[in-house]
Amino acid sequence: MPSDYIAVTLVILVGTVVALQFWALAKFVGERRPSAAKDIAYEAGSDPVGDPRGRFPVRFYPLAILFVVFDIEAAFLYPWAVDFRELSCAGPLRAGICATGISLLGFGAALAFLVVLLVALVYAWRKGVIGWE
Amino acid sequence: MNTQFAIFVFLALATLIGAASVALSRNIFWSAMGLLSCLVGVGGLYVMLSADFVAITQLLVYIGGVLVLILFAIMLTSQIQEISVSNRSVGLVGGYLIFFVVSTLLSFVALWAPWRLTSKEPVANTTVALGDGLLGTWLLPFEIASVLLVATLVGAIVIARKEVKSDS
Amino acid sequence: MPHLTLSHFLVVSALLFGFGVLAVVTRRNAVAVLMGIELILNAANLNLVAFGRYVAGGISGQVFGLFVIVLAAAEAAVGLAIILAIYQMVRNIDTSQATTLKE
Repeated sequence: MPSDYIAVTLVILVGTVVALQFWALAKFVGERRPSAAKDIAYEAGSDPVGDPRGRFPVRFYPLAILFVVFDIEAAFLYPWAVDFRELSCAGPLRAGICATGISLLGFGAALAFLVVLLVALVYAWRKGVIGWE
Repeated sequence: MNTQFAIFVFLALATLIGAASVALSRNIFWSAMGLLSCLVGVGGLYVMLSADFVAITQLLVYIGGVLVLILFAIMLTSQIQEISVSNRSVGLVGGYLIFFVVSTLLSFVALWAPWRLTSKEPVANTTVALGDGLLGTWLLPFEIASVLLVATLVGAIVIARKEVKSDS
Repeated sequence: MPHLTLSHFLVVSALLFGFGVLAVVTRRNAVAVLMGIELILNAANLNLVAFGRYVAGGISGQVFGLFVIVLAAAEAAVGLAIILAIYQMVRNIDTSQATTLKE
């Protein structure tokens, strides 16, 4: 079990080292000429409006909840998608081939899950959460 | 040196230091950062328990979703600093007392109870096994979870729909 | 260094639960109270997955854990919505301020 995660650990380590290395290079090698124009939040973009630490309108909040709900949906559908071939087969798979006929049980169950969540999406849509008036 | 144990200690420290700052930090923003550290640590502990899909779900739903909601709420209310940490009804001393009693008692049970350990190897391919479980044995909870999510969305939208009135 | 056992995870979970209770009991900011509840749920979840790994075997503990994560997300979404509604009503999210049942 621990050996399975060597690759993941390596990716995390290399990612950290690369990020730190570029930060360190910019800090110690790079030359700095500070100016007022460089201190703007979006140096070459539009001017920022207001204070980022101020309040945000509440109308963003239902959007965030919509995101969380469909985040969970994705988390639930992932095992279904990985297991789809086995679930679609009435009997056990033999060498990846289904010889016993198709079973729609797993597909139907996931479809029911999706349809119920579609109700949530339609509700949010009708309430104008997604639109921007 | 036992690498696995060292990783466990690191993750446990990340979890507990984060949890401590959630409970004790006066700045609610630092509390949220502590919660982040704590959630990442618990996710790492899931990996150590060979529950990799649960760990990914922890990252996806908790850190990507719930923590963002919490940061949202902090910014929407912008009540960052707290005048006094203590709650009037219990007080800090009472809180520490409860913390001490609860965690000592639970740790005592965890260390001294004769757990009947299994000799089974952990499931190797957890994602496939979870797919089998969710759409097999636990099909009804799986479907009810979707109803719960609809109820959550409808309830939260109904409660939070009103606009913030202009500041007085 | 010792080998990892069930008790290690249970002790971490016990301390996590203790910090969660501490946050729920002592904090006055309602969002922080909700964070404490998240800590408690995480402690319970860690217990479930650890017992699933060391005691029950198989996948059942992880399925439980998955559902607890989903429930915690739903609870946080509704709880924060309630906090925002309270904030709009009394301009404050101090738990000792929201004492009226009606406007």
